[in-house]
Amino acid sequence: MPDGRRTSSLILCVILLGLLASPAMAFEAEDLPLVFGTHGWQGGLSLSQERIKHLGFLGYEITGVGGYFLQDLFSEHVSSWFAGHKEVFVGNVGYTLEFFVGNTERPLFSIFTNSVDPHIGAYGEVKRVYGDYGHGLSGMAQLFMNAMGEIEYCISPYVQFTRQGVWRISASLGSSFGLGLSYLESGETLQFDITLVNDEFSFYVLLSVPEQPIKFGAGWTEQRMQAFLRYTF
Amino acid sequence: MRNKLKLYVIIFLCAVLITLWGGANLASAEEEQETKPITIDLNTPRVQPNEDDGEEDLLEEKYHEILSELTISEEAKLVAENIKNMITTIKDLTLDITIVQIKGERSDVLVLTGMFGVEHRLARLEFLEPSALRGQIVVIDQDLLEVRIFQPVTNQIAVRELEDMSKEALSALNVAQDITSYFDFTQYEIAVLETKEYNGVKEYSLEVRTEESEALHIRVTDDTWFPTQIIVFEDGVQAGEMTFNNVTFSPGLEREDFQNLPKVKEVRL
Repeated sequence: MPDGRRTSSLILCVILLGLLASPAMAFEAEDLPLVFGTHGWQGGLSLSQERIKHLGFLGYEITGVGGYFLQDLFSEHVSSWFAGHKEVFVGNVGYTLEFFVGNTERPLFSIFTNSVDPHIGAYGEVKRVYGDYGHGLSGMAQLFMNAMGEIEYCISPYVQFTRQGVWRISASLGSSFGLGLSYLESGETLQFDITLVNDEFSFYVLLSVPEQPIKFGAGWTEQRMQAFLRYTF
Repeated sequence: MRNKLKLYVIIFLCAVLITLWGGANLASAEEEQETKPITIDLNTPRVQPNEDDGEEDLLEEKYHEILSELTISEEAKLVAENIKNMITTIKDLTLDITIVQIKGERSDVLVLTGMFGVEHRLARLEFLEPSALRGQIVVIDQDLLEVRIFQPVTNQIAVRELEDMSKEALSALNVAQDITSYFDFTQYEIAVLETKEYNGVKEYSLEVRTEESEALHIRVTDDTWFPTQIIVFEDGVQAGEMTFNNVTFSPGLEREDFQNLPKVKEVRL
């Protein structure tokens, strides 16, 4: 077995063992994603586990772990991303805190595997909604585990309104600059995200088949196109 | 290659750390399940649910024994009876509720519209104030024993078991209990504090002593016999008040009127 493939397999085994050894022994959602992306065709496994704790009458807290790993079908390259997160919703206020590790970008919607150098990072978000209108601020920082040891960060203030779904207009400030528009349909069957960051345009769309365990996703940037099919079991 | 291997080792170590962090939180979340904060206290008198029937009978006997020794004026008794009789005739009801909770130097104001269906066994609360709760809609279904909460912050409907809800913030208001029972003051020590008359309508101010240290002052007029205001006193100090406005009796509400929620994703918690 080549060194690279052995290393990749070892990483996968350890990550799986780590996840399985956690107190939450059963996974709430498991999917089998089939992806066409940066590295051609990829297949793999995605796992997530969440626990909900009620906070009074109108609030709850979600604590969970999740992530995925994907193996290139025709090469030894492995893409993976894992995170632990906590989300709190009390009344009209929501907070999110997430710590992640991986060698793909933080996944948009569910899986879009844009490979980057291995890194660790943190993501935080606070939002407040007043009926149909709301605003919030999200921030992300990641430290790359490469020879340069680069740090990237991004702060995104946003406003949102609800019209047949949630529309969000955001700005991206920090290591990259840009604007974004995203939409999440009320039944959460359709969502899309359009951004113009560092003069690069990107468009992503996710379609969930109602009452079926299947999701389709497609993404387009100026350099590449991606698509995935995700089956949840 | 060795350098790459190092990087991968760092990645999976971090993954394991994250997993353990998540797991620790899950475990602590589970431990904390038992301590649930109460955020809303409607301070209305209620019949306490009892666990032990034998104990209940004994307590009830003692309670009535004490009550029988109390001197309750005929007028106070009549007012309480009229309120009770009026409430029991209501099939459904819509009203605006303002709750003021006094906390030292400041007071929290909660404004909501309510719909209560005695026959449908449904209740609907829509929060208007404060802004931190505006837009939240709660539908309590006593038949299905579940509560649906529309939350603008998630744009989802959270579905919870009624039993869970009763253990939470509404512990002061058992949502599985008949709503009319909250307005039955006949079992408490009562007294008429004040009587006024406006345009031929008599307004009574009734004092209901629910506990040694707690008293309710209830304003009610003899044209409807429905309380318009309930003021709560603890140790002689005003702790809060509840005001009912725009009350409509038996407007003929349908189940759909209660259950009409935005068409969004439902999440069972």
